[in-house]
Amino acid sequence: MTDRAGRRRRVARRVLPPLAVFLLVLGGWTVVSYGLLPPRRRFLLPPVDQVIRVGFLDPDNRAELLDALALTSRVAGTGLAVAVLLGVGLGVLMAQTRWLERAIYPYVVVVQTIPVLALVPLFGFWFGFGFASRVLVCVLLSLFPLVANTLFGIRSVPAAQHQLFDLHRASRWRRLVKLQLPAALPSIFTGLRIAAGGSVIGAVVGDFFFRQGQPGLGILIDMYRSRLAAEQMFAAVLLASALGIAVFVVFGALARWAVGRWHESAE
Amino acid sequence: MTGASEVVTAPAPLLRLAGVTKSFPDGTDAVAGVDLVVRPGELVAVVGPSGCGKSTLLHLVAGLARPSGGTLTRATDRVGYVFQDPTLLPWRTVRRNVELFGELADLPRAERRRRAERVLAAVGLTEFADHRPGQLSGGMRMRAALARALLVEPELFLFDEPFAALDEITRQDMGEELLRLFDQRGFGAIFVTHSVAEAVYLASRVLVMSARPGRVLREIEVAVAHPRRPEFRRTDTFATLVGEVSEALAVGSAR
Ligand SMILES: Nc1ncnc2c1ncn2[C@@H]1O[C@H](COP(=O)(O)OP(=O)(O)OP(=O)(O)O)[C@@H](O)[C@H]1O
Ligand SMILES: [Mg+2]
Repeated sequence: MTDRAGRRRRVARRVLPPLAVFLLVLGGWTVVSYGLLPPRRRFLLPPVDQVIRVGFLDPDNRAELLDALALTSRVAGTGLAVAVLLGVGLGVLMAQTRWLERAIYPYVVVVQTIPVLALVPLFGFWFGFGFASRVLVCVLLSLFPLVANTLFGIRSVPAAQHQLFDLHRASRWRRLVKLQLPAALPSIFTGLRIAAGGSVIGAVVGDFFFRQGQPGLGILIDMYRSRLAAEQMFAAVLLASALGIAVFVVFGALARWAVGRWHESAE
Repeated sequence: MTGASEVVTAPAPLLRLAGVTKSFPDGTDAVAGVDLVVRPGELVAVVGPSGCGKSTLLHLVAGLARPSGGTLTRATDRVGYVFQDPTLLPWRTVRRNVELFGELADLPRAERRRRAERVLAAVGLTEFADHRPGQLSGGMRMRAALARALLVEPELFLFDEPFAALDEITRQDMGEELLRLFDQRGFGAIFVTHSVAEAVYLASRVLVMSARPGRVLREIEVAVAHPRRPEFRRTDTFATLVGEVSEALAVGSAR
């Protein structure tokens, strides 16, 4: 009884403060829209209820938004999946031999340093404005944290733990599977969380630059803006933000599930 | 020195070092000409000033490093090694940590399980088999490390200051635990320690090493048969031996 009450109180203590801030923001938004902005200029910040009514409750508009959300999620998800395979693979490879690290690392850093979004027109030019180009943008935006964190995680394995495997002359493969990868998992998950955010940004912002092909959330936002369809634009922006937040929460939970039982950084 | 008649009846040595040296690439001479024989049922304690090459010596014996000179003959591959830190893998449960060497030696799963149950029981960790190292006390972690080494059913045991990080009471408990296992299984062992009392209490022989580069200064026989009882700590023999080892150690460190 008291246990359950205590639990409820703990949950309340965690949920209530951010909820209060959320309500405050909604309140402020409403005050600005209805109170401060004259009706003529209300498109600058359309009231919440209008955004919901026009953007989400109208069946046609909703279908348009959800289709775009589906496409953007698919692009971000595919990009992230490719980046995970490539990034963890590269990290593992680089951790095996110093010269491979020296050979590859500069280029991984280059990919991180160049403004990937500026290359978007080039990708469109080369590969068309379809799915592949959009995925490529996401991969380039999310690769670095995965490579860097995988490499760091593997390199951070204490020498004493390696000695356990030295004692039995364990093969490279066994060492990788039984020691290096599990030890690097918390670090890889940190990279994954950052990479997932990067991939969502790549999918949404990349869209702005494509402006062609099937519309994702970015193209929709841009289109609504040019039509001055403020309510729909806000709905699309909210949806894009929600996607980013959802990805953050999901990958946080995933990290806790995978390594939380033994690693404190996941807490 | 053992008498000639004893040599004939003594079991074949598990380990023989003759003039073993180790220099590191940076020029550090860690071990300079160590002679040492370990037979089954012998527990050899090694004491010496910090940095005199005790850990290096164990590395050489375990094959983690190669001698730079001299000969090292080891008659068994079943070597248990217990480091100063328990070095458990934090993502594995105690049971899976204990099974690690079984996996690396390709023991069948059922055999691994069976042995793990047995060694966990031997160190009194059965109840904690499914805990992770992070949930255990320091003493329990050390027991887990001991169980892990026991899994390979070692004929030769190497201990590198295994109880140094424990409080005095736990340390003595672990000493008793170790003696019990030693009496049951009759392995040969090298036990590196900084505690002269611990060395004399546990060992059949105490090796005193000089400051770096490490050589064997003296070998002091502890002529009290195992099994040892805690009362041994309060005997005159014990006090005399502790004095003798301490004196040799002081001479070695002074140089
Ligand atoms: N890989 C290495 N390269 C160079 N020097 C080393 C290396 N490993 C150990 N040494 C040096 O060799 C000497 C002996 O080291 P070792 O760890 O064997 O000493 P130890 O007797 O175990 O000391 P302690 O009692 O402090 O544990 C030290 O001076 C140490 O600095
Ligand atoms: Mg040492």
